[in-house]
Amino acid sequence: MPRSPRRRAAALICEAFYHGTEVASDKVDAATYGAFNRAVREAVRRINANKARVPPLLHRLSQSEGPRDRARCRPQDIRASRIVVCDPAPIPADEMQRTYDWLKSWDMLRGDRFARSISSTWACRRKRMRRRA
Amino acid sequence: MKKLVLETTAPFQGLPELVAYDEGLFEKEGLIVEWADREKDVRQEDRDQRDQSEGARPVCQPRQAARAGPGRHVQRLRMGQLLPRPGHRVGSRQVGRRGIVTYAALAVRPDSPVYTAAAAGRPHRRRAVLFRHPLSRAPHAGRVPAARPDQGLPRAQRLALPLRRDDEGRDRGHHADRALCHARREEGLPR
Repeated sequence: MPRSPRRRAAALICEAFYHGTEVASDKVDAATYGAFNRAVREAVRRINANKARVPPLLHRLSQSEGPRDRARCRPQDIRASRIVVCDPAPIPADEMQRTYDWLKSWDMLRGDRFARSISSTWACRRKRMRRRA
Repeated sequence: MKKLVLETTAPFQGLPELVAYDEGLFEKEGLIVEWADREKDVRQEDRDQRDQSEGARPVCQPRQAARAGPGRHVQRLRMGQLLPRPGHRVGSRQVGRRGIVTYAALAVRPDSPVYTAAAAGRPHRRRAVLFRHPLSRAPHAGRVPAARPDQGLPRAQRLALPLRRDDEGRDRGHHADRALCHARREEGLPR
């Protein structure tokens, strides 16, 4: 959370880090995605080498938020310890399974739609597991 | 040079991509990146409604660019987007984890009716409680489904489980957990 809400006496209730997922259409070939990931990995290395380079980039943050927040959130409000980057990687199978189980437990899935809608890598893994079973 | 269309992003969810773009790393890899505006097809009345709702931020309509078709490579974050909506024609798939580990937090404004002693930062024993745990420790108490390893259980069974120690799982090797613990330690907050 930027410090700006704290300046307004707002209080932190809970916080967490989470991994987002990269989504690509089937028109993106492996070579293109590999080049994209190499560029991102280099950017991750540069950010981790010097997090002080990050605040100047945060003008984009104020552009992407509403006018009310634009005046309140300043680059220096961002804490470096909350900027965590890592190399892009495949989604771990155990975590994908946990997500699948969680969605299933809340009845948020219909049939086998999940396996078809997520990464082809994971779908292949599931097929292999079924064959072994 | 290959052309790659990315959905517009913000530093909190796509910082490495923005750094790579600003510093010419995509060009070095032979990619020409174009940005597809994800707000392009959002109706104006929807934007107005979203902006007027109290405390709401117009951050994401990530499906818009994908559904409109310009995004050959799009980025989504929320788990609810694991499944394509009816009418989804792009045929996109999740291909992996992103470079940024996103920080998220819930905060209470002082003018909110739920602003409590917990929010005021009073001594630990006097804070408001949720499920017998201080509000600030609710995620660690295991009452947040996403924080539990047994979240595959049906809801009724999950709620019947005994409460866990609030410091349980702190030593897990999970990257995101360790990052949060590290951040809180640096800021001198209770872990």
